[in-house]
Amino acid sequence: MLVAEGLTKRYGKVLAVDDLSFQVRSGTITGFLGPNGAGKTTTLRIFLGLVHPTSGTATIDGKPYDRLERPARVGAVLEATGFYPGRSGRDHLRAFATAAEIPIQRVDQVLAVVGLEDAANRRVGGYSLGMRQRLGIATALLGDPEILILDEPANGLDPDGIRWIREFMRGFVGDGRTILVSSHVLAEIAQVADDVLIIDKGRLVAQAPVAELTARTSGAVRVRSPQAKRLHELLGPAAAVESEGALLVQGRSAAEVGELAAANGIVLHELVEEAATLEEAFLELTAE
Amino acid sequence: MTALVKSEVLKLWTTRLVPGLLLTFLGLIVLYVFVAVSQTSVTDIELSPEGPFAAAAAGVILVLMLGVTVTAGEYRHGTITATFLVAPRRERVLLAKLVAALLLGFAFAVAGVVVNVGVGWLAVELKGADVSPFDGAVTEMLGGTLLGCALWSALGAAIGAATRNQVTAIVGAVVWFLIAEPLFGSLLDHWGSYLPGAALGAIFESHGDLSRTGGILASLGWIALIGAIGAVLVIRDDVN
Repeated sequence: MLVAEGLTKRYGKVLAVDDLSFQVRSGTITGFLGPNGAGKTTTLRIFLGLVHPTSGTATIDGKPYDRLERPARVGAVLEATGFYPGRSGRDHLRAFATAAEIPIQRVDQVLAVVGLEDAANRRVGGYSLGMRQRLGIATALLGDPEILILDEPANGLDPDGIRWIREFMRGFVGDGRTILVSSHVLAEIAQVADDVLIIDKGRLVAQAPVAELTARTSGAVRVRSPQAKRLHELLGPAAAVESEGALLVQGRSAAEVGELAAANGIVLHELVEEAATLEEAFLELTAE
Repeated sequence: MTALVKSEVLKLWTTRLVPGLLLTFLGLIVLYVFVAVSQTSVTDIELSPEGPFAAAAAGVILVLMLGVTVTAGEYRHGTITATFLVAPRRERVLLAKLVAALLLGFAFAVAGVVVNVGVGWLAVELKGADVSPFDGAVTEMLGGTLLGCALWSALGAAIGAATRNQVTAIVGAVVWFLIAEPLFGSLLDHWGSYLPGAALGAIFESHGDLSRTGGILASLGWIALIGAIGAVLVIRDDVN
């Protein structure tokens, strides 16, 4: 389990992470959401011992990263991770497997998992962005980790690459393992995450299962009628014109709108309750 | 710890720079021997027989660059993140890097000495000078080369850690060793012999104010001082 307690990071006058506390349950994919500059990367780097917090703690199963007996049980793919361009993918993996005392056979296994066998002996300098991302994931998988920390893994990838990452994440947590994945692309997270953490300006805005979060945010009822104008008058400010002949109604259920229409003899062509998307929830929660 | 040292050596050897530095180093040695022997008379060679065998010392700046790469190279390419993820105890990584720098510096020296002795011996034989690399003074200098190169590499690793920038480290070192130190050295009188370049130089060949042992001790002092500054900075600073 990953636990942040009162985590704060100050860069000069800028408060990047502000008294952040949360827990990530084992066996889930937790989406770590927030606009660019919200403090996501800093928080993840603190968990991995790369950035020192100004105050507070970030622990993995009760210990800070640099006190873990086997750090390789936590895998991480970070954005700014570099590769030496002249080194082959296989040599890159060999170097880090050696440091972690992981048998060299594991290198070929992780190359197969990410589908890089054919490119393994080529120089990383010639890899596409997607291939580099896969090599980063292969590096993270060397130690057969129970926990994966991914920082914006879909950034810069083409739709194929994005789908691959999503399927990879689903397969990974299938065996009871844990992923904490940051993103500013909400659609990506909404499809795979169990839980969502939302931060803004370094502060925790919300933490909840995806379903609960979207339910909490108010949805809307869309109603289409040849007598839209008349219906609009009856509903008052709760309704807004969506398009010619269609209204979006806030704060009323579909049943209420339907009954009101029937009582007034108004014909309806469409009556739909639209669930709030995670994106709407996100925008509502991070609004000024 | 052994695993970390092996990993560091593997990382260096799989760069293009390090094998390139080794080839350049060996090439320079051959060139140096050729110039030293062709431009010196038989009498002069016999008077100071270490001349043709002092080639490795001429290439120490390359060994220093090797050392800089051990530490600063990973910051340049951003691989330091992956390194600290595998081994989050940074002091252990730094120690492994120091050992790797010493080992590789020594390996460079062994290759350099072998080439220098081989080519140098052939050259003096062809020239007709009665000189052997197993002559006391020559052997002593070759022994100094083995230790001296290892320490130049360690000093490079320390400078690389203190700057964490390959270009700054190399440019700074070249400016210091070729321009600044000779100037300061002349101002400081005999204390100038204890400056890093002069101290390391004494390991190859003892000079006026500093014996070989004195040179070794002064060099270790500089490596410890600069290395300690580098360690404090590397451990303290965030890796972003």
